[in-house]
Amino acid sequence: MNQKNLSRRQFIQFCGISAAVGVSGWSNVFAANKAKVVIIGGGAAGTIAAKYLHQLNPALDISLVEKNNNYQAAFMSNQLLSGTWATDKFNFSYQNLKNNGVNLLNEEVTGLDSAGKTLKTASGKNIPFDKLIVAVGAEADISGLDGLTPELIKAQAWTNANDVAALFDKVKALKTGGNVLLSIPKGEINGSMAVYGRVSQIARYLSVNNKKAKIQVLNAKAQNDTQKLFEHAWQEMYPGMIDIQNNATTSKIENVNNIIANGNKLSTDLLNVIPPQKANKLAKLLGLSDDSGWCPVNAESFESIKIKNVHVIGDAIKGFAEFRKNAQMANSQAKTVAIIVDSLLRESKLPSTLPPLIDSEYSIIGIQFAVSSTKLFRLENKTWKLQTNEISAMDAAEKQRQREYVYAESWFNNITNEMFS
Amino acid sequence: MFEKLLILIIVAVPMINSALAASPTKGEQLAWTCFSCHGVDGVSQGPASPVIAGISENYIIGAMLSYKYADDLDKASEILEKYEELEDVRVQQRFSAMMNRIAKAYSLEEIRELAYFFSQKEFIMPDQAYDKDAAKKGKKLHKKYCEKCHEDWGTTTDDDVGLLAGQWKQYLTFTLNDFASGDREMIKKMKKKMKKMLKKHGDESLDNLAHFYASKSE
Repeated sequence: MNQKNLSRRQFIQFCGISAAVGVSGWSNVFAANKAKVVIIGGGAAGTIAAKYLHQLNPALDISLVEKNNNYQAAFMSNQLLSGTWATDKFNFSYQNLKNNGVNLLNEEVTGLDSAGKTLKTASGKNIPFDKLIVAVGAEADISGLDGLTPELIKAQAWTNANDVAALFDKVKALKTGGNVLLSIPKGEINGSMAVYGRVSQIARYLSVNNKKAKIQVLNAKAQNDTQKLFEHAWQEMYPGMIDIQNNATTSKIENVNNIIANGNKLSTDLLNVIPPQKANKLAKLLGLSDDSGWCPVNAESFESIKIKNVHVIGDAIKGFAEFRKNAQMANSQAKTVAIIVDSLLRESKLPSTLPPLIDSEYSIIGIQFAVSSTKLFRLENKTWKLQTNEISAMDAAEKQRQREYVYAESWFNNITNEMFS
Repeated sequence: MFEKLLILIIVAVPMINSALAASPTKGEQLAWTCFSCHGVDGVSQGPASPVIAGISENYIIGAMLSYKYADDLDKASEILEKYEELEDVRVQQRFSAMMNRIAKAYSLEEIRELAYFFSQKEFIMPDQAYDKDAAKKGKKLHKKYCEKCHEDWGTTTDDDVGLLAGQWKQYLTFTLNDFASGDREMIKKMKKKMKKMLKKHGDESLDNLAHFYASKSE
């Protein structure tokens, strides 16, 4: 551009904006323009935070640091266990993020200099930031259950669609009339309803292909309303196949067939112990998690309580009352944190209002049969307050179940399109 | 000095334009929440959650209030009476799988912001499979029973009617069946036409209509 390009209109515009912004506002406008926002983690939270920050301020320098080349969704992957969907449906490319104004850095983060506001990577790079958003998700807590190994964690298939596909192969190979044992841990896990969805999808397959097979479920928690809804549906759809015990804690995993639960040694043909969870190990490495294994944040900003200018969202956070960990909640938090970070960079203050957070999970129980649970939170007096909390009715009409089934797929299609288009 | 000022302006104007002018409104930020189910800008990727881009403002306000006050529609009508500019908004009994839960969390003011946002977006018709013969039958049915209100083959939102052409077939089928079964309320003239159509052409006519609209009313 040269001086000839300066039009009368631009000059007037400049004067007008000068007047609107005021003298003191100028420094913030320029600061926001130059600001660097770095996001770690290209999942349901990180991709959305990057995308919407760019919409809020296209001049921001936004980088997404992700060690994997491609994304594989884990949410809805129980659909693989009945053979309804194939793994292709879960695979996505990060390439389009570049068209949305995001620098994609294929790097592994190895450290954080919080005073110098710089990230360090395995390849030796230093990545400076003004604001850092950490969206690293949850992972199996290897020290949370006696006997867990990386191989055993992989076999339990909780964080990766390919692993779930491998588990489906084992379901298919189960001997006639064989036994499946699934255990649910005591602590918080990502996809809280998905454990019941998993039992349902295995039952869906077995009820057609291995009718005498049994599924035993050990739940370390007490029975809740969600579980009651599933049990009701199981009685109707898979009578006699599923046996669930509550307050039954798995204390040790010995190998792919044996566990110790409530002091007894149990053997099974196919074991699926959902491992206890904690924030991804990167959260600890960066100094963001506490003794609970999750990352404490301020409710009104999602800023880490431990490190300034670092915001944590998604499964990795230590949630507030009744927050669950799921892709929808991660998506919702990401949009919220984008609004927060943009406001902090522009005006050095928090936004006056925020949209609600939607925490919603669909779960497929059988053919044309799904249930869901929806919570909405609103920020009130500096804390997130549960505003609505509803679950599909126990006695809902058949057409309600059918609609939730197709809306579940619609949600998956739309949320992944939003992340990667 | 003048030259320096010029350079500052040349550099600064585009930067400021992008920093200020493009900033999404609060209403738009509120609408983002809807995208994970209804698609970016309300353009759903299907197969069932409807496209809500390009729908009339009154239609969206009416739908949201119908969901929000599903247990007490009179209350919704009472609230609407207080706003002259909302006199054409209509609440009705609607079958709902999800929206009853969601709508409760929004104030009327927010609902109006959402409605404005989505009404300004372009309704982009998805390409979807449909049966050609059924669509042909549906076209005749539309002309005879629906066109009078859903003008131009269901492509208009005039008089705050729902956009039919190019909507997801699965959603159309659900909705048409809700109307036929009484799970969704109809205004008098629609009720009359629906009754006539079902009497003469049976339940199959609902399906044929859905195929016709899925064909983008071509």
